[in-house]
Amino acid sequence: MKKKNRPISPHLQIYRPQITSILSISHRFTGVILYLTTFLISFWLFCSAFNNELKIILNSFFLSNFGKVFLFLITFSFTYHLLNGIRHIIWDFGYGFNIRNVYLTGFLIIILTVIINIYIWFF
Amino acid sequence: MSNFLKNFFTFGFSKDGLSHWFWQRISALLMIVIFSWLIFSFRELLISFKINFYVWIKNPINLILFITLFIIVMHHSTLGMLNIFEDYLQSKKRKKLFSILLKTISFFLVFISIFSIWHIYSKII
Repeated sequence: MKKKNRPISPHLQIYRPQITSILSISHRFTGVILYLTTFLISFWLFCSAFNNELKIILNSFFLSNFGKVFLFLITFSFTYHLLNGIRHIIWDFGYGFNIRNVYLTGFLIIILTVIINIYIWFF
Repeated sequence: MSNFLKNFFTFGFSKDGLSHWFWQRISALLMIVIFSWLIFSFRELLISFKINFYVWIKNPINLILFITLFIIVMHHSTLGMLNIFEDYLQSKKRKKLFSILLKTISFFLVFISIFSIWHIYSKII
């Protein structure tokens, strides 16, 4: 195979946005957010073990409104990435590949993510 | 087959795409299982997280599952980030540099977290 002809990732600037491409790039984007969250979790665990004062500051930050926005971003990314990940695994087993089902599951995931996050934050 | 097994046990970190793909899925499935346990376990914890976390981690099953989960999460996310570098970085040199940096950071995070969890666990026993 010639190297030039190999498939490449869509260039985001010139690729017309559609629900499928938006969901795909969101999966990656939320993945990056979750990777950055692991820094936070490690730091929190480190503070819990070795530095109680820092832990109190960190806890009070995440109890403030500004901190809650961060936490909301994390729970949103987590639920979206989890649900879309399950969708990816179903695809890997060969199901749901026709365009109608791809759109249907896409919308379902968005709705479920919103419902779960409303449940987490308001109930 | 032996070649497949050889690449398989690099845990997705070899240049072989199949092994990368496999491990990304294996870790994803494992995470779904362990996260389901964690979410239900955390429901009771969240009532008074500050106090209960120290009690919760005291249980060896929780400790082992929490550490396992953290390792799998870091493995999955490192593989995912490597995929992003593979797709969006053009120069090979930069790709290599970033992947080494990423692996180092991920390893450091795993080390720090396990060390801290173990410290919490041993302190309260």
